[in-house]
Amino acid sequence: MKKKNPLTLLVGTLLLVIFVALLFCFQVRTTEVAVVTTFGKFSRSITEPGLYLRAPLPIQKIYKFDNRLQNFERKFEQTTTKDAKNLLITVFIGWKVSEPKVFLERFNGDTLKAEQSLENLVRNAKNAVIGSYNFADLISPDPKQVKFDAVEADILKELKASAQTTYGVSVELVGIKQLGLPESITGKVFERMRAERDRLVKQFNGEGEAKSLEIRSDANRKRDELLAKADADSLRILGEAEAAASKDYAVFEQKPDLAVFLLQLKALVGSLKDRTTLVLDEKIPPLNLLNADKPAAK
Amino acid sequence: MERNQSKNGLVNVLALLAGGLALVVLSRYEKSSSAEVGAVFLLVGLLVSLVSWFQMRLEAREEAERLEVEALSRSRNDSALFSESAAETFPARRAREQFERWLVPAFAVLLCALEGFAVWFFYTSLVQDPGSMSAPDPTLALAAFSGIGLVLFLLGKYASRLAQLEDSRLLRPGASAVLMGALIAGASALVAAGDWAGYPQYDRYLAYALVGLLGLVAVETLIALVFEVYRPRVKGKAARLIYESRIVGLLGQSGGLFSTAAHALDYQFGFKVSETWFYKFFEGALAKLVLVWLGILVACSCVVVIEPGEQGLLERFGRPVDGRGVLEPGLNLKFPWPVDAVVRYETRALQSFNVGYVPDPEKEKERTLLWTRAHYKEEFNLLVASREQQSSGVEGDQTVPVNLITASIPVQYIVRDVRAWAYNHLNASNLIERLGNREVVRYMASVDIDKLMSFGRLEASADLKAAIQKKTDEAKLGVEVVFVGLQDIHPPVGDKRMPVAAAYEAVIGAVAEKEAKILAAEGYRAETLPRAAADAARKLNEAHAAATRKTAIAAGQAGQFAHQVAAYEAAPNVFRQRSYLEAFTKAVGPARKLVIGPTNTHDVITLNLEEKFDQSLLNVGIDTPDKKK
Repeated sequence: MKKKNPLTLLVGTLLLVIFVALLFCFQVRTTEVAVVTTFGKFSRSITEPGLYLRAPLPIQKIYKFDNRLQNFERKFEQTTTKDAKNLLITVFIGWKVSEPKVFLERFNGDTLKAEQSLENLVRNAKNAVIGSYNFADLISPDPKQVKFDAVEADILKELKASAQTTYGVSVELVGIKQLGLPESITGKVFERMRAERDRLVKQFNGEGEAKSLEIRSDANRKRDELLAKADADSLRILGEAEAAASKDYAVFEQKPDLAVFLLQLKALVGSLKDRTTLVLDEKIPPLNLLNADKPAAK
Repeated sequence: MERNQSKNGLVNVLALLAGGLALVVLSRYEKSSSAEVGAVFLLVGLLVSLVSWFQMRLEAREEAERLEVEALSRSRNDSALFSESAAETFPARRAREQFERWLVPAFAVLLCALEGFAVWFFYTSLVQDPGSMSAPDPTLALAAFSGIGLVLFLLGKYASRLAQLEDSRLLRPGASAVLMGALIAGASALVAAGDWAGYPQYDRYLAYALVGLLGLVAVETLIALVFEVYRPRVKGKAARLIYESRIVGLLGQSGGLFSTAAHALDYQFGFKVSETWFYKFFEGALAKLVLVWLGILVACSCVVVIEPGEQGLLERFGRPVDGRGVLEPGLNLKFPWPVDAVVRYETRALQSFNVGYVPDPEKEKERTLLWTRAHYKEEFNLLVASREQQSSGVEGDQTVPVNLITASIPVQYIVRDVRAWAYNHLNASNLIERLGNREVVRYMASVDIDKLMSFGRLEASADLKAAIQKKTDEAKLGVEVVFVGLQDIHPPVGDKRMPVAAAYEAVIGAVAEKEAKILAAEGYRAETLPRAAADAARKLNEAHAAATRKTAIAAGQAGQFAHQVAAYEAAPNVFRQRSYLEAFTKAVGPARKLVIGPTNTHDVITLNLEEKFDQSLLNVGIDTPDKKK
């Protein structure tokens, strides 16, 4: 008979130990909680991490759930405020397994099922709480009037008690993720925003016209003032010149008839300058010379 | 001995049935693709071992019949018995021959078709569902696969050894199938260990490998069928089992693999390589080599290398290790699996999310961004309080005192506390995105839109960053918000019927137009006033000139008159006549003159003094078309 190799025995024993250890032990991570059932009947919940003993399958079965805060959001849902204003709102929540046994019984450990059930609670609480606040508590030009924190706290309060006892989960966090308006109202808001802008366009156009007119009229007024003053000064200067000239014209008083005669001659020359047709009598000197040598008529 | 073989064949059948069922259940529960394909191998092995077991029983009956006939012939020595036909004398042999002639090839065809269908089905399933799903309980899978593998290995090894000792060709296919099942279960256990360590993708790799192997087995079965048609029939020589796979036999039995390899070497080199000292040494040290290899694997699991940008969380039996729970980049020591485990996180990498928009890689290539054209895949409208409507106090059923605004706000953050990031939240990145959205919506709810769109951006960015940081701290996310950008804040694009952004642009245009009108007026003023000043100056200068001229002329005329008086007084008539005639000449010279003759006639002279139009102006030569002709 061939002698057994001790090394082979060692390897076999090691493998057997590991296999048995895997069958009889299990770990719970710090991020997990676990439920142990024996032949399908609840035995114990484990909420602390570490290494634990178990009976192998199919005697005992271990259900592990993530114990960290999980968050989800579902629908962007239309609701009504206390002052009968419509808006759309999305709320997200953060929850964790607090009662592993209840969680296993209610949802068979299925997180998706748990979130679907929680969604009904969230919708109920959200609509109830939003219905007790005015629209201005959510959207207002005054930051102090916006009550997001109070709305979220009220929704959390509504959810906390029922989720803990009914589903074995603890809701730790509620937040408003999104606010919106129904499509028909969005169209109206667009229309109003556009009308506001149109009003501003007209306002700016009017302001531009008014300011332009003001500047132009001011300029015209100043121009007219300057020219009027210049005219007045011109007249005054001409008057002064007239006065100064009249002193020189006093010399005409020495021979007034001569002065008038000379002035008439000057006026005559000045008045017969262009495009004048004169019908002259031949007796007028020097035209009378035209008849001086003419023979007398027979 | 034949009875022992038959019993062992039945054990193989039962082992393959139990192993196959266990793999099917485990593949469903643990969502293991490789176990699904492995179950097909065991099902194929079950059919093969069933047929071989049936054939084994036929041969046993034939052997019993032969012994019985021999005994009868010896006791009675009656030759009349042998005069009967062989079919009548050996019905069991006849049944076995009929089985081998018809049923075995038919079964091989069926087997080939089944394997081919399984290859097609699993390959398409794997291709259509490329995701790697992690097992719900990898440790359970590890234990179960190891257990199945161990049981199948012990049974298969026993059956294989028995087949070798008794030279039973019919026990061999079942034994090979059981050992193959053990190999697949062992590989699935390794894959489960990989899944537990955070590498679930190896399950798919193994599934692909098994599908490929199944395809090879199908091709091998097809080739064996074809060769069977052309095989020379030698009387008395047992036919090869065409449903037995040599590939499964090689992979399933390590001894078989070695002996086959040794025989191949002996044949190739022409001498007994398998009897050399090196080959003997290698064969003897194999167990030690495997042990060393396992030792190296364990030693490797005691060392973990954290890459730059990463941090690791060290857990001992699932509990964070006090004092050194966070492993920094570099080489770190730990207890081997399954005592210690390390989970890695990329904490130094900059992470980001977007609020208000969904980026579009195509539109990001655009170099010009306009309010009137959407520049992202999706742009969400944010509600902003309307100060004008709020103050007007107009109320109605659907009237809401809000404006809508589009904003694209990228938020960047890094993980500061990996423990908080990993241990407090299952999907921390989703939560920080939701908290970021919440703070933006909250901020916009009371912001002054005009301020936000102009000079208030930097202030808003800082406020938002502080608000998101505060909220993430409250949620114990362990992150530091490093950047919040308000890059696109503008009114929504609107639709064709109601373009909102264009209306906002029109306001900006109107402001510019207003400025233009004012500037034009100021230009008019700038032009008019200097011109008026110049006109005024001109007028004054002209007045001064006229005054100067007037006084000078007056002085001149006075001087001239004084001299004229002297001349007049010297010869008054001459002076008057001279002056008169000089003036007459000067005045009448250029005028048209008509001198009337004698006035004592009764003729009436009619003078036409109207202007005469110059007729020459009418004679401008312009050719008419008729003239041209």
